[in-house]
Amino acid sequence: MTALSHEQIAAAVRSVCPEVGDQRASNGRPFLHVPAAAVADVARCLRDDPALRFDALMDLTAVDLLQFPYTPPRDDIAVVYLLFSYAHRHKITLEVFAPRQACAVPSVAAVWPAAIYFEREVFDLFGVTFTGHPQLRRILMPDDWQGHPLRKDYLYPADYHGVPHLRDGQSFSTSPPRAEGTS
Amino acid sequence: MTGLGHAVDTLAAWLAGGPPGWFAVTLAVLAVWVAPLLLLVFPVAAFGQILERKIAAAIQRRKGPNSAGLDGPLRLVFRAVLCLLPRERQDRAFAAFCNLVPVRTALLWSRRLGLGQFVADGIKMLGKEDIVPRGADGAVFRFAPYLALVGAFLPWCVLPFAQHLVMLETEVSALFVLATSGLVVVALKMAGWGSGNKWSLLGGMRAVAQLVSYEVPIGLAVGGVVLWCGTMDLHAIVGQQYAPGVFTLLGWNVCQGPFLLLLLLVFFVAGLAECQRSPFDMAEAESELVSGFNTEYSGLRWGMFALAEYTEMLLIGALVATLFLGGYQSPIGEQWLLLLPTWLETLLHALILGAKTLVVFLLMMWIRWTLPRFRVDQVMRLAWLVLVPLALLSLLGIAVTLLVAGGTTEGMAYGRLAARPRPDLSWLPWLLLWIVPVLAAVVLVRAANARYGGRHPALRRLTGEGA
Amino acid sequence: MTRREGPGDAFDDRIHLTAVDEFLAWGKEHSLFYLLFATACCGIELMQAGGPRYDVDRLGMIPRATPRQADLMIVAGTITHKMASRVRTLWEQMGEPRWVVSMGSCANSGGPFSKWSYSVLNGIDKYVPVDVYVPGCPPRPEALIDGVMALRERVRRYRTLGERSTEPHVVAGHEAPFGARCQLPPPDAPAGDGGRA
Repeated sequence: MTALSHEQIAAAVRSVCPEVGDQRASNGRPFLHVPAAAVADVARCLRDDPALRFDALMDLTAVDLLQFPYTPPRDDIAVVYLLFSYAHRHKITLEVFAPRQACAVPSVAAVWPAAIYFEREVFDLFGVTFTGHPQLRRILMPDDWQGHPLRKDYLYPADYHGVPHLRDGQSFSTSPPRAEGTS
Repeated sequence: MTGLGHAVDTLAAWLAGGPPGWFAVTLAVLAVWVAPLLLLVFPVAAFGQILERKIAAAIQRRKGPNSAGLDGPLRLVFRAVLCLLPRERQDRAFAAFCNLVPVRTALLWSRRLGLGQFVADGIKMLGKEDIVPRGADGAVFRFAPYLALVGAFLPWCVLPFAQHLVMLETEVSALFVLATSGLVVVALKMAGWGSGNKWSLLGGMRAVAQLVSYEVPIGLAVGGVVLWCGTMDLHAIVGQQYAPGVFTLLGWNVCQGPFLLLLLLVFFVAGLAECQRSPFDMAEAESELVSGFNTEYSGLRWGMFALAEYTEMLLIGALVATLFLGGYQSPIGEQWLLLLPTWLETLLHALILGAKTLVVFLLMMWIRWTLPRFRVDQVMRLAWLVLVPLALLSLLGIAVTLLVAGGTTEGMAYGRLAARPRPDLSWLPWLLLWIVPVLAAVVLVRAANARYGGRHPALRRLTGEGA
Repeated sequence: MTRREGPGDAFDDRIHLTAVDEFLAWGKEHSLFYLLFATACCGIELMQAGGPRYDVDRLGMIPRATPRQADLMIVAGTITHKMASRVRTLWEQMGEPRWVVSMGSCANSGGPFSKWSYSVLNGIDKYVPVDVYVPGCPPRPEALIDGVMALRERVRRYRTLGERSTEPHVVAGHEAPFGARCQLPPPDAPAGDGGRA
């Protein structure tokens, strides 16, 4: 068991995919930026390389970069992978950009089965299509829900199946961006 | 003689003061066949529910139902009696009556004890919508609760309540009990299948698997008693356990050696499973199946299932008492009871049987509210790998005892029951029968302790020690 | 007990059915079996109400796992749009007479989620008719028991055989929030008739 530093892990990953970028978040935490096309290869390398052995996908989530203090400003959906190795006790964060339109990223469900539910959740709330996912459908919202609510340009619907979102006589001075015909 | 049994004959003859006519016979049939079931078993089974809730509350350090008293029914009676008065006067009269000190105290205590709870539950169920699901098999679904009630009530017909109070006298009453209580299996299966609901079906399947499995140890346990007593007649089995003098207790089957004691335990545990009681309530496990076979039943039909369950619990209690605990006989000084007038003797005997039944009944509730539920496979393993071998061992032991004891003597005549041959077990073999297994157990335990340093590995596994 | 005014009143009260009705209502009042059903933190308080300290079993209330045998549905917790149709189905599966207590702010009006949430239903009374609203976030067991007592008042006036009148909804000590009223279920919402024949 030898825990590797962030730089060592980054070097090992670059041997598979040289385009991987080493970056730092505003809080100083380092992460690797991976091109969307290379995610599956990088994931397999991270899991199977005996020196890396990332056996746990701790979390898979996403951030909408619209109106986000990102330099340079962009409007992609950033899919974030938090990995941990129980064998070596080291961890790494990956970031993958999915363009706002044609929002697709290869699935890592074949590498870490835990990703099946995570990716369904990200698909449900952010609308990222994970290609190669065995059963990509909504997990939290109803199956017939329109849109992906955690996107920042999401317009709140006026009602769901005719049941309005606000009660009679209820109004707010500030309210979330709503779709047409909503108070 | 009417051919309807001793109890009917006697009562009809007494009513008519001579050879009975049809009116006397009808009255006697109503009094002997119908009244004990409707007036005794039915209310007691209904009352069992409130008793259970109170006991559960006591075990969980709660108060239990204490708001439903008897004031509701009393108000109805008042309104019926004073139906010609206007409502205000009825109310005023009722309030005045309830303010009388004895009435007030009685109502207070009825409320505190929750005596009105089962009345309220029954009334509520009566007024509840009777739902038959769309996917259900209507006839099967509707009929199942009645069949469950029939299966729970029929075995009572052959149970001796008192010396002169047996509804149906037959030579094979032990077999009759086993056979008729098997109807409940069919009822539960019908309920599970007819509901058209997967949880019901699973519950029904579980119920059938469990009940059929536990019929085996129950049958073997009854078989052991039959082997010992040499008769299948429950009343004769009760008569067999009669011993003169003060220590009638020593004549009971449970005192006839460790094998019969073992059979009592097997019978009790298997009976617990037969009633679908926790820890064996696999068939209606709320955490797994919504409510098992009665998921789709509402209102009175569900009430019938509940009533059947409590009736069956009472039945197991009464059977334990009859087969092992001397039936309706008093534990001390039985022969003097026979000198009393018939009605008093009948009453006392029925009360004694009721007391014994109640003890077993309370034990069942205590177990239910103390132990967690078994897993399905554990339930099955307990039946086939523990209870059946134990019952077979006891059967073997009883057979060997009968062989060794050698021959039978003419037993005591008890009341109107003729003397029957009984195993010849004088005091020395009786003492040996008790002492040898106890000594063997002590020696085995000591040897195991010496070998395993005080804690047997099986015990350690059980308590999770050193895991 | 409030009496209805009108011609024939004195005669009406002496009809025996009224007395029987009163008795039936007494039975229903003392035997409110509630559905084991909770969706959020109010459920913890609901469980506590059944525990030794508060013990709703004193009032004759025991939990039932299946809606067929339940008389009372205590909607305890946040109801999302996705859950609401399930709640409606459960309510439909209960046999008449049935009552609904809306427990806590979320079930009453959406509570803390009523403003910025896209997924939470603003009050379960949009799907099922609510008899009693219990305010609080979450309400303490005392509050729930107070709501149950208010419901029992209502049950006492329920007439099985006689004429039934619609009653205003009850909030213990409050006006109905936001003009609470039951709206019929949306025609295209996934809800059936509870599987009745």
